[in-house]
Amino acid sequence: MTDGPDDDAALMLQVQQGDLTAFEGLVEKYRQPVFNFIQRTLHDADETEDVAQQVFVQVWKAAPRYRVASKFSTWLFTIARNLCLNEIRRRSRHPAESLDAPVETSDGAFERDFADADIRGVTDQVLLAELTTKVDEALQDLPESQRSAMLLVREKDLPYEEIARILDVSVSATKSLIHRGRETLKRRLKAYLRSGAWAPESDPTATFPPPRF
Amino acid sequence: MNEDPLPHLEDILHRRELSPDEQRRLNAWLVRHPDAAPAWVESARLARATRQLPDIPVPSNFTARVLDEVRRDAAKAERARDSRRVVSPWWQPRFWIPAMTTAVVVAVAMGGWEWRTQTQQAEFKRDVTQLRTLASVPQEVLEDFDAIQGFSQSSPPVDFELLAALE
Repeated sequence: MTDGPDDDAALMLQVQQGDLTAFEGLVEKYRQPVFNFIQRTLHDADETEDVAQQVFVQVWKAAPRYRVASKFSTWLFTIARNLCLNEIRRRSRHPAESLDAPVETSDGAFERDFADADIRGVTDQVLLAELTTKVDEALQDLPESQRSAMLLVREKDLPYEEIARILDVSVSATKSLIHRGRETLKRRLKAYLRSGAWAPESDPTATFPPPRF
Repeated sequence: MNEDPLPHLEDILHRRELSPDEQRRLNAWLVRHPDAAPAWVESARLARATRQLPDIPVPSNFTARVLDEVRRDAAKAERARDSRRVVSPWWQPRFWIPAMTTAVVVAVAMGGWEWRTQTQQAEFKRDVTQLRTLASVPQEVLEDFDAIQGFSQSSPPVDFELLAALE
């Protein structure tokens, strides 16, 4: 997502005229962030593909109604979030058993591969991968609005005002959602975040003087 | 620099690395507020981990599939538009040529129907007039009407032998 919002708006105006090449440019540019957002919201690879496809088809169909009032990415992620919410609602009406769900064993305990919180002695690469997995899991357990806010704030081009539009809440409510989401993740991942053994050399926290405690 | 810069810097760190200037501000703040350092370490590591979540693999044919779907949808929309064009706006020849044709056909049909009705009424009127004339004939004139009618309608059988003899 290196191009500016004006480039996207210009492409969308071409899409409004039925320009498939311009549309293809937008799909190429935004498919990765859209996939990331949907997969981390739905946690199902097949559904992610289907919903991502629906998002872009919806962009094409709704192109005549597009107005350059806000950024294209805001409009795009609003469509993506709405389709994800539809899918979540559909799931709640027709629940299916997840293959990833914990399986109860005969003695009543839940069998799941919980990693040991003691991460000393393992390579940074593995620890970073493990932390990433844990962050992913922790994100999944957040309420939908907090999770969406946390995921959208990763997009460099989306300021709080645009995220607020996508979530259809005020800017202050958006900040509150992000703050609460971060605090929840910090509490849940405290053991990993405190150890810091995984942190690579480029960790920005490594450049300030070590705390005196 | 009395305002706590950490929330703002944490926001930045969730999106990108700190610039050298931002890093200097952070260092200066933490030197003066060492008690904030442990919480900052956790915040910074979470920000970095969240930012570095790996991209989800996108199928290589994803864009092609989206474009195929869009083309199918466009074709379907075109067909739907075509079917709606059967009833065109009134100002277009597509509308008024069939409309005029329909109006002429209806007018001719109605005229034909009117002519037929009037003809039938005239015939009926004539029949009634004849019947009234007949009704005014004296009763004795019609006394042997059926017998006379029978004569006129029946003819004797042809005598072929007599015809042959005459020849």
